[in-house]
Amino acid sequence: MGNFIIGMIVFGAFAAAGYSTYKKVKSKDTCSCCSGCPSEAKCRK
Amino acid sequence: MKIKIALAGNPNSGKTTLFNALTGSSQYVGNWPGVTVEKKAGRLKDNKEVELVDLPGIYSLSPYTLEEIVSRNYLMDEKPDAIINIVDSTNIERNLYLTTQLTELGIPVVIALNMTDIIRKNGDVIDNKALSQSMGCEVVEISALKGIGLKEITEKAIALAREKRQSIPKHAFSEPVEKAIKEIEALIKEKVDNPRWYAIKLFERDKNALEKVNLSSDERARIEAIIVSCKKELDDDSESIITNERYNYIGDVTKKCVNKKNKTRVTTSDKIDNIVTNRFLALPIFALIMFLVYYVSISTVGTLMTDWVNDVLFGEIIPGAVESFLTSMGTSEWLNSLILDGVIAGVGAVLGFLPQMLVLFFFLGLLEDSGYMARVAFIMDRIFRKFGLSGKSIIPMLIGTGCSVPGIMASRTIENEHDRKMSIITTSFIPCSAKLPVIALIVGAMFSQTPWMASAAYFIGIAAVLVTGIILKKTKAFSGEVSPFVMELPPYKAPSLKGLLIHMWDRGKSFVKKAGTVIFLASGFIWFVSSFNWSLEMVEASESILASIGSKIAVVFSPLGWGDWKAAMATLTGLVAKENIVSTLGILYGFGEVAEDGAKIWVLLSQSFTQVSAISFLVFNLLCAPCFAAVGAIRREMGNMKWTLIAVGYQTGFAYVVSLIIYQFGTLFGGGGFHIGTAVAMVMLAVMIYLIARPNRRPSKSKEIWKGAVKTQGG
Repeated sequence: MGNFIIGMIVFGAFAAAGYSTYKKVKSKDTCSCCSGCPSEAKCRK
Repeated sequence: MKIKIALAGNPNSGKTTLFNALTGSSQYVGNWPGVTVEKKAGRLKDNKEVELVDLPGIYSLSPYTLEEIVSRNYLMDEKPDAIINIVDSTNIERNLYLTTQLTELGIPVVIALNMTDIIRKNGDVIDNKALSQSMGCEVVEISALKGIGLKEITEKAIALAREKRQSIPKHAFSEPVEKAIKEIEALIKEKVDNPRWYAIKLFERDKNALEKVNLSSDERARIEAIIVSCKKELDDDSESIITNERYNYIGDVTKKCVNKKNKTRVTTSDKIDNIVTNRFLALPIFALIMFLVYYVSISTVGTLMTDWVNDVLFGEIIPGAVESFLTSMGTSEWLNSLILDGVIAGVGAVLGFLPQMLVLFFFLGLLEDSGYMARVAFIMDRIFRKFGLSGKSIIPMLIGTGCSVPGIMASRTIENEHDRKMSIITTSFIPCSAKLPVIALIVGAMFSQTPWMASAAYFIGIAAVLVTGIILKKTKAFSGEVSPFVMELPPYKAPSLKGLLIHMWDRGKSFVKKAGTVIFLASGFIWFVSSFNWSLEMVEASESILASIGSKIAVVFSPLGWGDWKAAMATLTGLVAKENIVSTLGILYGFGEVAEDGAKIWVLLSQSFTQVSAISFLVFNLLCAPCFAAVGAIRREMGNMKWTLIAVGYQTGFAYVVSLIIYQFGTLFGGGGFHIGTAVAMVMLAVMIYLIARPNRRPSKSKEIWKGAVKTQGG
């Protein structure tokens, strides 16, 4: 049971991170890969 | 009723500061011109019906650079309901030039006389009433930084927009020019909604205006005849006639409205500049400042905090607590491994460097906000000029210290296509903040007793830019005259602690966010491919999928001294995001492993590299192709795939050659003997020296045309 719960939490976290990254890349809303980017809006296409 | 208000003004006049204050946003503000290259929209904090548009800074409505075109097109095509014209009151004469053009657009204009607190401090006086009468629009004193006059300026702008009260330009040109403009106006009045503005632009032979007014060949000929006749009468070209007459008018206005306490006063900024931009002292001071910034961030204050985060937080507290929790939950071995050896080792390894990054962000913010970074551009321009490079590429590089993506985008301010492409290629050589964990990791693991190593990474980037500039400038694709560089040096300002903390917070937040998404995902992936073999059985890392791929790729990096598959795969994962180099090494080298002597953190890593191979690894990762986001920015700015591939290919090839030379010569001088690799490195070095020293394809005229960075300081 513990395995299932923790596994689901970890899987959910990966899915959320993946979805968030995909959304950013897809919408080109922000730079997906520049940490320390002084302004996310600067990365708009 | 929805109202659209544009913020227009000269570069570095405080538009973005005002925009942030009015909308509550936190757009990047820099104390140098050219920070804003795209328009940004936001809603007024107190009135969501009002949309504010922050336009890139422009000196006039005659567009010469891309960001000037952005501003002009917005004003001309989208017709905002009102314009807040931000005027830097410490530099009023130059700023009013744009005002004379804005008032001709037929859009209500209100002047926001910014930085009036500095004017008062200097003991100068500006007669707002007289200024308002002379310019044909209302004037409000503000200080965007201190929040003075903000309510008044928005209320005035909203009222003007509601009343649709157009500004009436008070300035008139000389009689022959007015006559010519009236004649052109009569010819085009049916074709455009603002005939006077277009008439002036057509008189100036503005190409964009000519395209917008649908003229027959006969009408064009008549307009040309009018211009030629006026030119003959005044003995000057049409654009200069208009410019001179505008400045003459502004000169009269400032004489009437501005009363300077001491006209020849040497300001504090001047005194500081006499030292920091001194011909002989400037470079040593710059080198010392950058050394101190990196030394304090990476080797002293930052390290103390990073060591605690690495050793205690991610070394003991979190793994210990998570392991106990997982054991109590009875989770299986693979899940424990994924969480502890994958996620915590990978993400933790990157987050461990957050304190050092925050300290660096703080100091970089301090240099930017104080105005010193603008001086760096001035100082570097002297060096760049000597090598025939455009000083304009310095601004993208300064912005690139935060992130290469906006740095690459800032290259669009360079008009000359060759110089722009060169700038796009070289910007990512300057270490961005994502490369900082890599620098900190290598310096911490291999050079803890060599404090200047971290700052050396910055200077390696500058050297790479210079060498690339010299080499490429001599090729057919990049030869030719360089863009002249004129830059305004803003007065020094004491940065506010709040502003610096916001800078630090924004950048740090973005770093943590990335650790929680891209790095987290990559850590999970790296754990999977380093823990399973092709039959999907859990194995040791050395028998994993990653090892089998890595060992084939690693051969390529053997001549660079780090032909180990782990280092090779870390470099490859760095293409997704540079921090991934650290997270991958964290997973593969067992982040938090403890050595026999009790030393923690990166003990296995330091055993896998020699000092020379570590430098080679660091240099390659600093100079090779940037992350995918930056490659995307290169693609967008280059406009085609061919040049994108050339840029990325050059960066990677250059990084390879430099790392090869470093490793092979380092090994030779370290007593490692002469090998085939040494011979190849010698040939490469000889080729590089030839490419640097060979004569130019065409004699550069840069020395004749280049006046260098011009200091036009306000105050």
